[in-house]
Amino acid sequence: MIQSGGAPQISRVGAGFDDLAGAHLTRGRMLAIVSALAALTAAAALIATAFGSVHISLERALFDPASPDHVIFVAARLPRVMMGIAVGAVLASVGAALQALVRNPLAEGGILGISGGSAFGAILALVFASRIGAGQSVVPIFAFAAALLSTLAVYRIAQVDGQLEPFTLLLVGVIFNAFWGAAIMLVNSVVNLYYAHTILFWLMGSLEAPTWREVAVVSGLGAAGFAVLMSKARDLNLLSLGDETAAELGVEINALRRNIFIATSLMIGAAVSVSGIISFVGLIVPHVLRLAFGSDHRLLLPASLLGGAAFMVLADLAARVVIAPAEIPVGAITALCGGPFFIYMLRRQERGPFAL
Amino acid sequence: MKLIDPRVPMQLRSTHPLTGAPGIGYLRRMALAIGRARLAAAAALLCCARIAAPAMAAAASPVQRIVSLAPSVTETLFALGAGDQVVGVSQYCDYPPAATRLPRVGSFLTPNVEAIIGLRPTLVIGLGLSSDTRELEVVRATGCSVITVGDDSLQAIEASIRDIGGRVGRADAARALVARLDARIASVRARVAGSRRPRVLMLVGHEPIVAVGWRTYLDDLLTIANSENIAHASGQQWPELSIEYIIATRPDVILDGQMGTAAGRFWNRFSTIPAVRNHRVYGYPDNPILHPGPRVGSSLEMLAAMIHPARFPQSAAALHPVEVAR
Repeated sequence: MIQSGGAPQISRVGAGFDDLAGAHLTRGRMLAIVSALAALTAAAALIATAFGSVHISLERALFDPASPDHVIFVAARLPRVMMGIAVGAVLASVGAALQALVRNPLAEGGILGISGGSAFGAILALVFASRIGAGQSVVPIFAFAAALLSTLAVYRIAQVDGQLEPFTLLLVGVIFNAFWGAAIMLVNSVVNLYYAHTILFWLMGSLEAPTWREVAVVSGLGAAGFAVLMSKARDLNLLSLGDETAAELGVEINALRRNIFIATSLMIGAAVSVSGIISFVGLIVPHVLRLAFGSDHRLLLPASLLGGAAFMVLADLAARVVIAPAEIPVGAITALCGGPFFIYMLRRQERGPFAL
Repeated sequence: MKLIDPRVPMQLRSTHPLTGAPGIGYLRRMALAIGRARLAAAAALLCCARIAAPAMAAAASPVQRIVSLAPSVTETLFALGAGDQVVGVSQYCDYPPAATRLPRVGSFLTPNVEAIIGLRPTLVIGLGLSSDTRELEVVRATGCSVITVGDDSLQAIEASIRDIGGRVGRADAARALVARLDARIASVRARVAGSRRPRVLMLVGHEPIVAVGWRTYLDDLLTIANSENIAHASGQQWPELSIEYIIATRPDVILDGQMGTAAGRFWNRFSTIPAVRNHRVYGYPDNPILHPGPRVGSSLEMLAAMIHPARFPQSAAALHPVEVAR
């Protein structure tokens, strides 16, 4: 679909890098962009905290601990907004890193089979762990373990003669994603109605009723993974010049791929274990930011982190208020925005030079 | 009234048998099915002797081979004393025990046409939802009678008991069953009459938070038990309610399908909800409460006892409030 002519030469991720090589990323420009995005995220978070399925008085919420307003604010709305920030940041920054890693603009956790594996692990734990006496707490552990296993399997299988071809990697990832989807539907068909609904919920993705502890876990693991990505930002830039050139410039390609893969699967595992599969965030956000600010990953990664957070928080606000007091799964909102955008990207790319 | 032991996790209580769609040859499948049906018929006779009222007149009608595609239909057939005519049930049918030993033919969501036809039924009873309409047409084309009944309101449940009774030659038993159900409903109405009308939230799922909305048989039961269902505002049958709305609406009683410590941990975050503060979050057994059908009478009594414990003193000891630990 992406490449015409059949040759697996589909990389455009690095095309913008050449332009940027002249215009250095100055400390001032980076600071300006990052603080502007941080302000945007803060504004989104404020709006999302102010509105919800019910109206609350901010005064009572802050100063009257015995009021329902306070409980709604502290135990329901705030952790949910925080979780939106954490999950959005994780999905978008993982998307940006994976797109550079496989040099393909369509890469994201979902397409590489990571989130599918993670969701399968979570669903298995959800459905069967309770029967063997293990509690709900094993769900995130299963989600991680499955994300990691799926990632490693994709990584191993995609290697040809010790080389990791980005195109092969993408294909294997897509196949794995389809495989996990099928495995989930298989589980779905043998469990009772109660679980069938829960599984659907995981597949659509939602940020419903997170606890502060879950927020802490996702933020912590997300931050740790992001630190790894940031430390490899320069290598990701060089990777866009091609494996050989990057290797000549001193990048240890295989170690880089392995590290990025492990870091991203940890991050995705954490996000999926609480929110299910939320699609398209990892795709839209990095692309928009790459268009706006170029593809230097020292800037693109933090920009995606913030942009993803803002986008997710606003999408979740829509999920909460559109048909209140009932809710829409946030994954439906992001996919509704993401689908048309995805097609727009494809069309742009077919037409001409597109500095992704 | 005896409630099921709350210490047993709900997931362990109901059986989730895998669909027994056999990949074996047709002959062997038939033999198996017939063998199982015979066994089940014997068990069903024992069972029916217990369930069916002794006054029931066994109408003279040709014995049918009935396939049921929904738990409510299966329960109705057995309650009417027609359990011995049932040759196949849905994968979700887990009551009465005799029904669980019958061949499974998928469910109203995914009926297995081959398995149904393979049982040579003379009557197939489904729910007529969008999910089973096409399959039922195929079955009908083989010359077998197909009827559909509803089970999503109290009225529909009673109508379906009468319909099924008429089709299986148990019209008198059906009338008697409906009369007994009506008497139980009237007795609950009388007990709760004049009580304060508490705001109630009834959940059927935590992930996502799915509540009992309006135009469901459970909503009918909540109304008869003189309570105000806070999920009405959603205008949906099974709304995914926002937790903010639940906190703001301040339900006095929460009926939560999930029991035990997980539910306690979930609710204890939201301490201003009167139900949480006053320890009025109750776990309920999914069987029978989440099963529409002839047992709605006992479901109603259980729910009413949770909503108005003072009016049901003999059941109060059997309630199991969810432990909301600090």
